[in-house]
Amino acid sequence: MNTELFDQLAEYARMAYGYEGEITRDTLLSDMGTKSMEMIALTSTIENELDAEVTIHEIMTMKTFGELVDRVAEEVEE
Amino acid sequence: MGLMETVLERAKANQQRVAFPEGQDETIMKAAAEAVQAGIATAVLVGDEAELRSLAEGRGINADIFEYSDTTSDEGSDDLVSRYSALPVCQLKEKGIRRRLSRPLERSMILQAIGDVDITFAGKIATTGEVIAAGQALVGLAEGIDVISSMGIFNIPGFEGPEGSLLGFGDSAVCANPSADQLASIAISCCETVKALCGWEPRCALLSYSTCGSSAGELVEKVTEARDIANSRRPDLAIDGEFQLDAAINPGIAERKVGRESAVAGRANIIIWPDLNVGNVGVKLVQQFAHADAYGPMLQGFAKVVCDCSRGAGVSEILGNVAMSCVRAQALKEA
Repeated sequence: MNTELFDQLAEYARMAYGYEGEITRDTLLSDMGTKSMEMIALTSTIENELDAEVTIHEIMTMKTFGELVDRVAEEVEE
Repeated sequence: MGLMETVLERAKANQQRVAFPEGQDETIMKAAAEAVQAGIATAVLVGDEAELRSLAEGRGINADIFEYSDTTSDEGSDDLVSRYSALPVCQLKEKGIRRRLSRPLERSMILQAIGDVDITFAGKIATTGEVIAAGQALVGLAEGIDVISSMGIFNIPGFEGPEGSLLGFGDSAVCANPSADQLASIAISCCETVKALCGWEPRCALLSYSTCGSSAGELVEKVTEARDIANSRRPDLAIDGEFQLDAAINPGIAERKVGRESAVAGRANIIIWPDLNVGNVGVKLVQQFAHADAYGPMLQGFAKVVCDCSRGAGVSEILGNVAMSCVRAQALKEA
C-alpha cells in the first residue's frame, strides 16, 4: 500500500468531513460524512493537490476509505 | 389565464440568458430555437461551435439565432478562469477550472456562476445525478439550504384550494430519505420556488401521519424537528406541521384537528412529503385517482436556477421548462 498517499488522503478527508476518528482502509466513508458538499470539498482537494479527478458519483458508490485510496492511486499512476 | 400562459408571458417580458450544454440533441436545439423565436429567452449553445452550427444547418435551423460558448477554443478562457476563481463557490485550482471549461455541462455552470448566463438547462443527455453533482460543485447551494430537492405543482380537477386547482408539492424526485435539516431545506426551497414561479404567498405544510401530536414516534419527531429548523432559519416564511394531508388542506378538518393557531393548517398551498416513498406514492395517487396534471419536477436549492429536464421530454415540454426556469431566474435577480 502507498502509505504516503494514504496519509495524504486521510488528511484531506479529515479536513473535508471534519472527521476526528481513526482512519483505516476499512473505515466506512458513510461514517465520515454523507453531505454532498463535504464530498465536493474532498474531491476538489484531491484534484487540486494530486491532479487526480475522482467524481462525487464514484465516491458515493464506494464503501470504504481503502477503495478511495485505490481509486486515487490508479489516477496518480496513470 | 392558466399557469403556463402566465409563465410564458412573464418570461417574454424580461428575457433571460439560458445555457444549453446539450445542443447536439435535436430536441434540445429545436426547443432552444423556439425559445429564441418566441422571444422567451436568449439561447447560448455551449459545446463545439463548428459542430453545433453544422448540426443546426442540417436540421434546417438558422444557426445565427443562437449565441455560442465554444468548448474547443481557448479564446476568453483566461478571463473565465480569473472571474470564476474569484468566487467563494470556487474550490478548484486553475487546472481544474480549465478542465471543466472544455466540458459543455460544467462550462455552462461556470458561465452561470460568473453571471454570463442566468440558467443552465440540461438533462436530455446528462443524468439527473450528473446535473445535480455539477451544479452543487460549480454553482453551489442557496443560502440556508443543505440539499438539492425538487418541487412540482399539481393541477387537480375539482380541487378548490387557496390557489384554485393548483397545489405545490415537494420533494417527489430527488432527496430519498431526508434528515430533519434536509426536510427543512426542502420546505424553504419549495416556498422560494412557488413564490418566484407563481407569485403566491407560500403556506407550507410538513406532512405526517400525525397532526399536532396525535401520534408519536421518530417519524413524527423528524417532521416537527424540521418545522423548528425551518422556522428558525426562515422566520419570514409560513412553514408549519406536523399535519396530516387533510388537516393541511381542508379548513374544516384543520379546525377540528389543529388545536392551535396556524397560518398554514387548512389552507396550505404547498405540501411537503416526509420522504421519497411517500412523495412518489402521493404523486401517483393524485394523478391516478384525481386525474391531476403535474408540472415539474423542478430542481431547487442551487444558488442559481439549474434545470434538469426529463430524458423523454419533447420540444413543447422543454419549452415550458425553459419558460418556468426563466421566471424563476427573474425572481432571483429581483430578490
